Amino acid sequence: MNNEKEPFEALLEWLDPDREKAGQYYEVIRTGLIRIFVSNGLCDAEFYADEAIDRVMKRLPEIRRDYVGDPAKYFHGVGRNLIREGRRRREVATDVLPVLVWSEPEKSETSECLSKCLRLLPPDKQELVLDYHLYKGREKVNHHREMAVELSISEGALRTRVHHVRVGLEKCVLQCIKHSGKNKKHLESHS
Amino acid sequence: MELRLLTDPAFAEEFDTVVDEVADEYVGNEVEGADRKRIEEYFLQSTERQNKARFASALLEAAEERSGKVATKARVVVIPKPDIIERATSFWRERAFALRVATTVAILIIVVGVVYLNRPHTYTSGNYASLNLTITASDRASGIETKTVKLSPVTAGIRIELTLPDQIPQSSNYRVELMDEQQASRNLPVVERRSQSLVVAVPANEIAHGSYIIHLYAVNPDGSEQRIRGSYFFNVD
Repeated sequence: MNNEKEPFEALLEWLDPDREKAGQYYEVIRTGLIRIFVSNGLCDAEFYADEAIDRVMKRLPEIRRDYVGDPAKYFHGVGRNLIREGRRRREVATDVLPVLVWSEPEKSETSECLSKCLRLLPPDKQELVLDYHLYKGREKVNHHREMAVELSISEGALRTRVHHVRVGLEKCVLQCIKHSGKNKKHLESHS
Repeated sequence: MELRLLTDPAFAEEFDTVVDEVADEYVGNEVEGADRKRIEEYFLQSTERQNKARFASALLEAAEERSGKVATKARVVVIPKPDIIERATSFWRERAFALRVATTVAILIIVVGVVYLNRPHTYTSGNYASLNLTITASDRASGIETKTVKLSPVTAGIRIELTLPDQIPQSSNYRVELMDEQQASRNLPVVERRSQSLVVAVPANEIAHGSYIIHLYAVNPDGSEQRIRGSYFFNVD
């Protein structure tokens, strides 16, 4: 057990002598790696982020004495290598471009889950997030300006506020889809 | 930019906001042409982003519904299943450059090898000794001038062109029979057929020094054979 913890502890120590700061820094690096992998078209970005961290942990005994500079740079280098490797063995199926198709208004699984998740939000947040996404183009810009004035906040603050609500909503929808997928499998196995 | 994502949480949040906005604009049909294509090619390549686009689509739809707008049509981000050619192309593209070169070379070697092994057996004058024979009415070589072919160690065989007599039965097939001095006979494959002649070939290792006679048979469609009168004579030296 102690052996398993040791490299991670060493990594945190390398990131920052202050354990709390190190934990925060670790989280920033991990989520940053996920964003980088997603942006580079890699599926299973979390796996690649953990792999990058794992590789850094393994090399840490060699590098920590001589390495100069921000540890983030080292993580970035390892991440770039993983992107190159990942591109070579990327799943075939995901290389096909997505296509937006317009279908008859039939509720998709995502829509159904979104309806459920919206109902879990307080009414003001529900209204905020739906109202914010109502318009397109120029109308959208003007509408956001009006909303900001109504709420007595800047447009940037409005954008951030909506983003936070949206992040929570998106997580809820993903969990709902995952859960309904499990239920479907469960039903199929019993039918 | 990537480095900032690893060090600056505020920038990471701003990045996420922009990602959401791009997804909204894509599913809301606010981007067109090259920009749209770029989003499809790069932005939406990972499943996470495709899920984001599905979510954005559902969110815009819910917003429209709530405002009383008629949700004309739902936007669905669909990942089409690749057909076998697309999968193969995609698989090929994803291999390392060195592996692709090695595979190409290997395929070329195999193709060239197969073509070489299955090539039509044309016997060039370079490695095959040529002999043109005309049929003689006699069945015996005595009294006629017999052509002689010399086989050197580098000669691969003899290519014999048999001129067909003027009056022969109409036949699409012929059987060519080679007979040596001991009256041992065997058939020779016809490697080329011309309007007035047939070409047969005998590898050098299948023919010894001596005198030879060739008999020609016309093969009828029902399989029966008709000997063509006369013989071809030659010597191997």
